[in-house]
Amino acid sequence: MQGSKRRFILFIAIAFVVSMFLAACSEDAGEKEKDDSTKVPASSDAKSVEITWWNFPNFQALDGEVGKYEEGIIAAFQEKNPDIKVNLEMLTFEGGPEKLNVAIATNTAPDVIYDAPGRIIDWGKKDLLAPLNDMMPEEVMSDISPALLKLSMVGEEVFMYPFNTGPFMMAVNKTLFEEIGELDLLPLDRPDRTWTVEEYEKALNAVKEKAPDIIPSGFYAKSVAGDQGTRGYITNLGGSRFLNEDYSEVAINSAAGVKGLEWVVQASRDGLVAPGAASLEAGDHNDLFLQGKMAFAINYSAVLKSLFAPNKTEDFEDVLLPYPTPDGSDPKLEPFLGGLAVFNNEDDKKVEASKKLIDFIVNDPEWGEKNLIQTGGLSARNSVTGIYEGSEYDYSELARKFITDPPTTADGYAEIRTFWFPALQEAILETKTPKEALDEFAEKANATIEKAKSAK
Amino acid sequence: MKAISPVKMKKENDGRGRPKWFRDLSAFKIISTIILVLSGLFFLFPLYWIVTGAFKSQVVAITIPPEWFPLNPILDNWVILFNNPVWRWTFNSFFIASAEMIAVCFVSATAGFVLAKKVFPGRKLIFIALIAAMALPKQVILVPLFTMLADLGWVDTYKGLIIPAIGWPFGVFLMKQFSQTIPNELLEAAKIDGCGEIRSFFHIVLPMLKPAIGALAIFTFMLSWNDYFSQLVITRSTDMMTLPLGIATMQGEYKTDYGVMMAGAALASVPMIIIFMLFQKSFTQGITMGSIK
Amino acid sequence: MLATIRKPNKHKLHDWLMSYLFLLPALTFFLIFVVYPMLRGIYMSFFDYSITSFEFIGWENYVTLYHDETFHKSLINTIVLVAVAVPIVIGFSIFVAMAIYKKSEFIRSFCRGIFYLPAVTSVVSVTVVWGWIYHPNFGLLNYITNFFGMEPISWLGDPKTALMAITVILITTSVGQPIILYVASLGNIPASYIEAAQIDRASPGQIFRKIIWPLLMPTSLYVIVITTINSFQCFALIQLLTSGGPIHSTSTVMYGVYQQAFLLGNFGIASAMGVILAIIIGIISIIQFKYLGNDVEY
Repeated sequence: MQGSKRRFILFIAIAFVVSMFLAACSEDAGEKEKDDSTKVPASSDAKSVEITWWNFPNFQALDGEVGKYEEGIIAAFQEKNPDIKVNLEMLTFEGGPEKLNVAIATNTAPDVIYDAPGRIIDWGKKDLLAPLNDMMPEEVMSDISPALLKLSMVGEEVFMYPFNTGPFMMAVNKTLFEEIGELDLLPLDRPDRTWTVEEYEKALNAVKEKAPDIIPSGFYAKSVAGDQGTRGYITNLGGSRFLNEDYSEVAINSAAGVKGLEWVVQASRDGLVAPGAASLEAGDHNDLFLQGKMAFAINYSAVLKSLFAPNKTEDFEDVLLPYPTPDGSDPKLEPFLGGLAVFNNEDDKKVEASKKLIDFIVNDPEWGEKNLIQTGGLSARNSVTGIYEGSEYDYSELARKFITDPPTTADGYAEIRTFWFPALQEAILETKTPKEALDEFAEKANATIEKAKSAK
Repeated sequence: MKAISPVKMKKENDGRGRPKWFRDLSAFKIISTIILVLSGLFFLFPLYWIVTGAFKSQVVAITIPPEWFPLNPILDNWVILFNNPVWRWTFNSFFIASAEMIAVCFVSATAGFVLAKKVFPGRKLIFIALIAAMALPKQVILVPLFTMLADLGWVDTYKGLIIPAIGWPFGVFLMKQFSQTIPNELLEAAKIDGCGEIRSFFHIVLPMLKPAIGALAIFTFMLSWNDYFSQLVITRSTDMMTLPLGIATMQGEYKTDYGVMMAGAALASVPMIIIFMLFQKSFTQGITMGSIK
Repeated sequence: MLATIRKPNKHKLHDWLMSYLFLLPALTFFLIFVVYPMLRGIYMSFFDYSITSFEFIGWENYVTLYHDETFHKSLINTIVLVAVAVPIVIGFSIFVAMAIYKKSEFIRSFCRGIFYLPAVTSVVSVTVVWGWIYHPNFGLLNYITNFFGMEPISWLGDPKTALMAITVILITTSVGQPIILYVASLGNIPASYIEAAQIDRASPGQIFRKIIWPLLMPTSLYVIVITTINSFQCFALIQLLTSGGPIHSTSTVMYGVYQQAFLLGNFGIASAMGVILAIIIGIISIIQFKYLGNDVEY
């Protein structure tokens, strides 16, 4: 009793002293910061400007340290622009979107954001961003493919400065097919590697028979993450669009779209798809592939391939493939696109400084290409090619001709995608037929599109 | 065998001599011990898996049949982890949790005692308000709270991370429930001895609440240490991140590096467990009766 | 002590003043950082409040929720989760506390520690381990059930098992605190009470019902209310393990609040959900107080 009492008092005392000490330290730090902020404008007049850049882990981390590569960019940028101070804040994919929503709703948004069109165009439609048209002269515009431009613009205004890209497609464990002696089943001898659903089925069945420990293919429907994969897969398998041409209505519930989803359901029954797809996330599905436990992955790209390289736990060759189509015609691949945008925080100087930073990141003679390589992506410009070595990058550049316009910039898309994976779950778990599931999805999504359009 | 048989005999005699409930109790004891051990293992497993996983490579971490113990332990995960400002994050977590703990214990003890033992206008109303506030999901107040913090300029500061959490009424509720067990005679005796309110609080009430305050201290510390979501929204810079937030930055969109995550999780959990194990004994002793005797 | 003797008004006033003084620190923080944002949250629930708009729409958010099937499903899931988890948590923690409170200090500490572990370990890491345990292809649970000749089950991917799989994890993360509190309270029950009852040949069941349970009441009330509130607000497990799926079978009201507010930026409707949830929790808490709290003076 006595001893424990002493220990208790000791603990409280220690905790108290420590936290007082820490509090004192933090006060100091706080004051120092205040000093800094008052000093800076005093020394360099009203010319200097401070901007904030929020970044998702778009660049591969240097030495595993989050934000280290970005700090390098900022140091180089500030050297050239001594009157601009850039504060970097790293976001996470897990939690970053939430943080952005809160920041925007409370008027504490950053100045520069490097993200994908899904969110950026949504903000653009809500008048939260500064247009970047003055950064995009005619020769730049004409150097970017129309599908990518469509993703970066709202009407006539450019809200995202497109940077790195690459078509989303699927991948196969080539080493596995060599081992089972069925390499001929893959379309690798064709220059554009296009193939039919029937050929794909043959390949899957070959895996099932000759390598029973390996799951032939995967599917996932747990959450919105990576939904371009399930979208691209089903639309190509059936030969349907996801939304109609002018994004006014859902098209995936057409006969062709239903056929695509029916194929997935049937393949699941036949044991060609990893079980439990309804509880798998894009990441779980990719993990299976990277561990050599699954022959085909349906969410892959050149960027992801280089990003995944350190996570491969088996030594095998992963090769990119387009999604198969019913008749072997050209597939329609949604592009991955990363780009930068500027929040309009009602301070022209900040907007100007932000544009300078974007220009530096993308177009600096020294850093531009380096930054692009750090993302592992292809350039959004058609004229910039051949910055990587290797057949998969060559193929990825070739596959740019299959790029289609993704639905991510449709009105109300943020909400539409929340209906998509429950519909897939219904179909996979066979609580509804594929047709019923897609019709229900279409009904909800169409209502959302209409609501979003009328709200404008 | 012979040597112990008399003892055994005696026990059996005792058992026979006692009423039926005693024999039932023995059966209950055996079964309960078995259940206790099994469920203990079940509760221990996730932590065991995290700590061992921190020393496994990506390949080994998720194989089936599972590798129950890391046969080829590696340190790579820790190297990657410590390339990041992990110490700073740990410091932040520790500092925020300690400050919150001290403040919460103080305000809760005084308020809880008064709510339990005094009669004054508005007592019931205040108590109901406290309960009602706990019922409202924290996520709902997060947005208005954040607007407030932004107006105060407290975003991304220690103030913003610590002070709002002091208002959360769990502690007051806990303290009130425990203050009720303080015998009224004690307080009355103190009053008759001419002891003032403040003195009697520090000399009589506080010592008796000590174990409860200890428990509250642990709960508050843990709650703060694991309060991922509020901290996510309030922090901005890498320097202000807490340990769980910092570790989350290392996760990719389509990939999970299990080894590094486990190393981070182990780093975030083990200090807590050590603190808990060291101090829980003194925190969680009998609440009041022991000290009256 | 409470007003047994008529005291002069001056003393009473002094007493009141003292009480308010003691309450002041807690109330200040509570009013500024909880009550004010809470009232604003309720206020927000009458607005079409999203990233870009802030427009008064009266009851429309509530009307929308009234007609929203997913919300109904979430409500039912939440209630099922609470109805299953709370009794098990209470029963299990009393069982563990009863089994260990008379043991040596070392065993007591050790057991309290073990059962508190899942609450100490950060949610994110616990869910990674559980995600692996439940994994449909390479999970530990299927590996074990396989020995008993069972077919692999997609525990989190099947609407029939997903909610229960989540409930199990919720229970393991919830029992730590109750066990600590029950052990402390049991230690306070004078041994003479129980001995006296034993001499009177009361059965263990009678001892528990007539002596132990009533004396544990203040603790139980706290534990029940807190566990109920925590179970109602279960969200991180769901966000990290199932995102509310499959087919909304693990979607809870709290997850809906999170989804609407922080993923879609619809703060108005999220606030309305929160208010409805608070009202439900409030009603249940009042019932718990009325039903369980009549022996307790408050």
